[in-house]
Amino acid sequence: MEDSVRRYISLWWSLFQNSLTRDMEFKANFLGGLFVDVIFYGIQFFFFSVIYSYVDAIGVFTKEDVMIFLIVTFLTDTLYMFFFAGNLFNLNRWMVRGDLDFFLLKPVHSQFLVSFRYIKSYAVVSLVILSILLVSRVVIYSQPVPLLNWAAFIISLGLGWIIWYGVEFIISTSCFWFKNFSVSGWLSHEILKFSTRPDSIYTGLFRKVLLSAIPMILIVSIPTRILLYGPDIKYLGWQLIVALVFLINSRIIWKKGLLRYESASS
Amino acid sequence: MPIRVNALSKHFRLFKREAGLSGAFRSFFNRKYEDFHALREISLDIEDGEILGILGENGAGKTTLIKLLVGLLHPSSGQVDINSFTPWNRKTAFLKQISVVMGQKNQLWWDIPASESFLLNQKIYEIEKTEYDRRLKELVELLAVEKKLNVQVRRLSLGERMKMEIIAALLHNPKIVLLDEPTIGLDVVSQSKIREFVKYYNQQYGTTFLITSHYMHDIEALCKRVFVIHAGKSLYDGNFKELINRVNPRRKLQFEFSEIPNSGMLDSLGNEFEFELKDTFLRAELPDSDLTRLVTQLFKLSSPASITLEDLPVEDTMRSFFANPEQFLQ
Repeated sequence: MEDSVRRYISLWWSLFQNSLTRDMEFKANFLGGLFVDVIFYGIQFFFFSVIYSYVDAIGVFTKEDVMIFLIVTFLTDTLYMFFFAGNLFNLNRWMVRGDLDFFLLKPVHSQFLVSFRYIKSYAVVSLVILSILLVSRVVIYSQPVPLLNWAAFIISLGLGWIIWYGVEFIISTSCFWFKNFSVSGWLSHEILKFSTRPDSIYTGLFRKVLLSAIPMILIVSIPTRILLYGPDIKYLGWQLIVALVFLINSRIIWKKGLLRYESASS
Repeated sequence: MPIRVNALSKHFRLFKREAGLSGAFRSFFNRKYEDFHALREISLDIEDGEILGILGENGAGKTTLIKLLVGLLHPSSGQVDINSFTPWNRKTAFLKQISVVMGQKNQLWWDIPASESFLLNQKIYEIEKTEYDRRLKELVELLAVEKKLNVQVRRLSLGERMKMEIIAALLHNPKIVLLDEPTIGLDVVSQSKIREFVKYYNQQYGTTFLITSHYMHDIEALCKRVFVIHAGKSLYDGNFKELINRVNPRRKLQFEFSEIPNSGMLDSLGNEFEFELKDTFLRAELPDSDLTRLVTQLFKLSSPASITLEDLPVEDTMRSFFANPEQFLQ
């Protein structure tokens, strides 16, 4: 088990180096990727600044809370971009064109390879900037944030990341059943938008759905709550259960999907 | 790693629709499916170190067979046993011992030099650094691509790209290599280099090769044994030369007389054999036994200025075979 973990970490590092080598072949593309992120984050900050110029709070989230919430949103988004965006988003195309053959022929866990083959290396820069921004915002936050909050936040953020991976993976692998489901990437992208708004705006049945079947609230809002208001064992426990359910389901669906794989003709 | 294939079948469910917009609308609401039998009851044994040619027209089932043998597809029925592995279970130990090169698909990354993809393969296949360096050096020298290693794949010619694909496929020293149309689109020089390489590599390492190709010269140069598939069914499994002889046992004779023969001299032969006479040249296409008799009689009539015997072009022979394969195998 330990050997296996070590092997896959080392393999991921090789995939990262390989991706970085490829990304750096095209300077403009590499720098453009950074620039696009800056524009995207800037627009989001501007959008929420406008909202808070009219209201003092949305639910429990005050303006300074929302600014931290936004940084956590961007951090989650960047983590997702860094690890998965170059992979799951393309699964349908790989399947339709038969490129998936080369993933399946490698002596590596096939789900690992389709999930991590291409790492968007330029996202590292955004990750570093956002992490610094988050720390500096929390340092000047009106209430002190103890280290325990940070520790629980990192765990919660990781669980949210696994949940998002599970959701996206399950949507992407539907292409095995539909033969061609090129909208899967965009569908996931649109669903993810529910996670980029503070959870206080969701109420009633819809809130329950976003906490379970489409657990978008668990991805950003819960980690932010834990960071600002302290660890909540109920939320953490629920995140853990949902993460496990989605991870196990992703595994089952992948195996069933492979049984249906027809591989494109040569 | 011997390969045992037993009653292997693969069916696909395809949806059918009529052409045009109305057909698209109808099929959108009422989709009709039909079963396509890509492979039916294929049985086949391949021994270690063999080079087997898999022949068939487009859509005959060659690639489907290859994809089943490497575990990309699950069969509808039947078994495959490769050294006690079932390919579609995709065990790591099995995947480390096989390799596939598809002439129409690339495993190398387009935007970076092939050497970067090789490095990644070293990690994926867990090849020791010294062993990796040794094998890479050997393969690069054999295929004469030393100067192209650090050139982006997209800047390579088709032939160079195929050589790099072959290197990527062989770095981990697989026991079985499946080459699906490895010379497609290549010029004759590159085709011939790849053939020579495969032959050498097979002799040197005893690697089993399964090759599909529409270029009969590939098959003729590399494969003693061929497996012919027609409409998903096994049609022939045996010696390639025997198949050629069975399909077209004729050979070409050109007999040059030292001077123009008088017509009376050849009258009796004309009743017995079919040939064409032009100036001093007599040309005939006959089965071996008839040719021997004709040549014997020609020698009795006159001593030749020159004589040549040729096999018929193998491409032509196979074309006539595939036009009506059952006819030749009854």
